[in-house]
Amino acid sequence: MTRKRSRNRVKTRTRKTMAVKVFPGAFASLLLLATVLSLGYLWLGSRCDNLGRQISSLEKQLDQKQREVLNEKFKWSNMTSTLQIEKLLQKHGIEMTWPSEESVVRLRRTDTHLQLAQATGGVVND
Amino acid sequence: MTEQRPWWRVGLVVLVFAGVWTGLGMRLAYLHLGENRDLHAKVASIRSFEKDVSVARGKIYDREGNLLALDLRTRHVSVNPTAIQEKGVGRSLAVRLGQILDIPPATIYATTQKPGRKQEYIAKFVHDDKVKAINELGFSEVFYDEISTRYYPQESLMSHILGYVNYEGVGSAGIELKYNKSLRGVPGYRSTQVDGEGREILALRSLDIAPVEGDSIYLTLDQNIQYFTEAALDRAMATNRALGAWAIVQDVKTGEILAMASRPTFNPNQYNQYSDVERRNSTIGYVYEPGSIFKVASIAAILNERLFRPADVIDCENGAWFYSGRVLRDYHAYDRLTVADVLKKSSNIGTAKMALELGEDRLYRYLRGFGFGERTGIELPAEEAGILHGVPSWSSLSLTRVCIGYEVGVTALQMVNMISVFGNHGYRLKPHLIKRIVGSDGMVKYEAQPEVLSRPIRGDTARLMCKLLTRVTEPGGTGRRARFDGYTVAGKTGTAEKIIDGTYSSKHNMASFLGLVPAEDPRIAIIVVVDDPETRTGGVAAAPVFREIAENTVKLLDIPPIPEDLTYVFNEEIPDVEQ
Repeated sequence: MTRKRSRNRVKTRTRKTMAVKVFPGAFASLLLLATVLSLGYLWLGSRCDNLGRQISSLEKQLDQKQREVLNEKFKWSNMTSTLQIEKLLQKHGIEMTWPSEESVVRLRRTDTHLQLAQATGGVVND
Repeated sequence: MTEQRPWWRVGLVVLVFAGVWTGLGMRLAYLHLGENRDLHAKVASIRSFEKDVSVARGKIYDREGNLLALDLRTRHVSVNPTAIQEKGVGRSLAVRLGQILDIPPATIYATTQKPGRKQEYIAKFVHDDKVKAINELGFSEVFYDEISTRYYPQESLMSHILGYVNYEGVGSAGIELKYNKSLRGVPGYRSTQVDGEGREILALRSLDIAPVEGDSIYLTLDQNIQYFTEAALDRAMATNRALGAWAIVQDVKTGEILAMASRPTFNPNQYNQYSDVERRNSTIGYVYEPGSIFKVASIAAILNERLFRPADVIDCENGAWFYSGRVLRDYHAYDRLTVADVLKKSSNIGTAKMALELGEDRLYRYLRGFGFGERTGIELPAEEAGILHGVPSWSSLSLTRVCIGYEVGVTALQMVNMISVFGNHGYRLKPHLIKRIVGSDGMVKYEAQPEVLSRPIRGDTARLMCKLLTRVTEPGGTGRRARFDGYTVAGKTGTAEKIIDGTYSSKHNMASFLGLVPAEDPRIAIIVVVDDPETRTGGVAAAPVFREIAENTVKLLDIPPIPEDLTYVFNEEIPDVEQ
């Protein structure tokens, strides 16, 4: 009986050892690593594609906005040309004349502030 | 009784399938893993996509930053006549498109009814606003081609200076031609790969060199002064029924050109619909004998040499003077005139007699000093140098003819640059049109500075000339129509006979007026030339145009009038040379 028991124990141990050899931990780790790397690669690829689509979409948007800006600049320039303004004035019956010389007040820089500073003993920095 | 299954047939099918799949598998493995250089290259060439990224041409602005030229993407609008005829929507499409594109519906309808056609152009260079309106109509038979075009929002304004760009995008005239390299920029480059549907795979973009937009050019021209100048020329053309007219406004103190206009003109947006004459910038490209306005240079030379004083008296031979076997006449006969009056009355005889004292060599040297016979160097293509022959080729008569503006050829730009010398203490500055050039990154690449070309006369002679020329626009002077309230004008009229069929014609003239405002401290110089006016003389045809341009310019530039106590008023008093 004792022999039989010990034989059975040995058999059991042998089976366990064999199972470990069929699927070793190192191989499992390798597979896991490969899976993680593959998934990472796929995720990165997908992310790159996504970013690519975003870049493409933003490039189109930028292009469209630049186009609109140019169009508006063109229209603004056309509208503000002297010829167009003259036409508009005529259309609305507005007559514009230059101010007479008596109506013009020209402001010239004077040295009043310097005189004031000197008179009060202040420091002038300019 | 059961039929025995033919196992060999099943085996055969399995074998065949196995063989086919094995073959395909091997082929697949071979394609992917084998060398196959040709095949790989073929696939790569299909997937790879390389292209130049187009770049917008630089913009052109006036001195105040008003936009004068830009690249704009527009569309050519086409229709599919076959599809329209099948659907029977020709009439409604023609009416609606006609309203948007300002084209008669009948014209569009006729285009849509062309048999067997798949594409017919309805309109070219259509702007985005109109395209949007067309899209809202929802006609699937309308489609577009996108195109980038150079546009000039001010249309014909400044057209001779701006020039134009041809359909290949190359500058072909004016600033567009002269600064083509700077304006066109550098195209970008992209190397990438596309998928089966031709869409770019952004992740595989291997090279992306961004385009560099062309430089922006700021001109010295002022949009408003240019407009008033062109409007004045248009009126002069109509009033005088002239063949042409041109004018230049120059800032005396810097040499900047504030306005430069030429008639006839053209619209650079449709440059190919105009003739060469209409596209010619006559201010720099038309060489003509200036006549009396040239006396200004001759008399300045004579006074600078101190050969005569303004009060000295010249015998003007009662209007006809024989010299070297030929007669020289004055427009009005004068007995004796002071030097100052020779200029005021524009006496040919008086000027010629003084020129004889000056001599050929000295006159020639002064004229070269004023810049005649050479290009000014303005930043425009096709500038003419004019004609000033060397003294060895002068005849015995040449001295008496050159000094009054014959036997020489000048451009209007040379003339206006000459008179600017009087307002600038005798210094001749280089006339220029470019104020600054700014790169696409906003950095200023070039900023114009006044550049002295020569100093033909002394400062005191320059001031004296301003005083003497003021008398020309006073009552009794030939240029009195150039005067306007509040300002003193120093100027000179010119009426030169044109050469028709090899001889001088008394019926065809070049009428001109050349002047400075304000005379006491000149800020602007203006020349107006009218080609073959009905009214003939410079005092009648050109002086009023000068007044109109000058009056608007001093107000736009806010040039204040000179206080009355400093104004040049002669009242028959003749100024003397300042020692």
